Amino acid sequence: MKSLKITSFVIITFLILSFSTGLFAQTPVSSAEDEVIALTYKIWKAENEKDMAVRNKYISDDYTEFNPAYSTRIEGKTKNFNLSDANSMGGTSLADEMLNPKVQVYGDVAVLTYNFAGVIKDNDGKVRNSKAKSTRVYVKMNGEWKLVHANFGLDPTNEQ
Amino acid sequence: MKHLKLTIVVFLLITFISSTFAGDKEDAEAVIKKAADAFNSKDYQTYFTYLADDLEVFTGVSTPLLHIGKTHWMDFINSFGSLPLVTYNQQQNSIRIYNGNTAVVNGYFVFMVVGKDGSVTTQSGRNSTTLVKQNGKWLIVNLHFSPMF
Repeated sequence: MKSLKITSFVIITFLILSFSTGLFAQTPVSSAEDEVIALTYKIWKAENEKDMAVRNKYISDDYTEFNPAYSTRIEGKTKNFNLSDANSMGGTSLADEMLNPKVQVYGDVAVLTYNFAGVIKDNDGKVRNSKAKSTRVYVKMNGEWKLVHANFGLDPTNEQ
Repeated sequence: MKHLKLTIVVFLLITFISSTFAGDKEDAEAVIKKAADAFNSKDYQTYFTYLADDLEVFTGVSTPLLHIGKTHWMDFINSFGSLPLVTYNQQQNSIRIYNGNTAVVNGYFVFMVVGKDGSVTTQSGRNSTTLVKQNGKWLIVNLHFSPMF
């Protein structure tokens, strides 16, 4: 009787362990690194599909940006959207890729750096490449990552 | 009387919170300034104390690649040692503090190099700096210098 109890205990323990291992294997926890990279692709997709509601959701109100088109800092989400929405009328993005992505995570802050590689089709049908050195700073606010700053620097080899 | 006490407590709390965040802003700005001062006086050993070990840097024109790690950046900076004059000045900083432990700073810089032959090269640009408070000390974890023109 005692050995039956021990056998039952071993079987139950084995089943519990198998179940919990299987459960964890099926639901991998995404890392902050993966989250901000995936979010950046999501923002690009939203911009390309003109889904401004999705894009707006992940940009902080106090967002600041440096980009190659303007010399000085663009302060605030509203000004940035006015300019980027107008710029997007100049062509269509055919591809956006992040090369050499690297993420530094410090609690609720993540700094993503990468070499941007893109292909744009101008309104006259001409297809051209686009590249940049990019840094994005994300902060987790109320459980969601939001972009608070970006520096989209010209890759100088473009012009040489 | 009860309302008066409550008002005073709330006022003191707000003042305390404001001063805490104002202090972080000032502290982060002081680190940016001290790092620049050390760099400009070629006291690179002091300059390096303001950098985190996992520092990453995108420079303006020297390479499309990311400098990964403090050691890699130190090698780059030490190469300026033999030049007569190398200066970096940053102005009009926007400083934001998040979660009391991260500072997002961005401003405009002028970088000047005087070569051994006396030639002067200047580069104007925009800088993004991220600082993180580690063990009570603000350290620079990320720098991105991009050309202005």
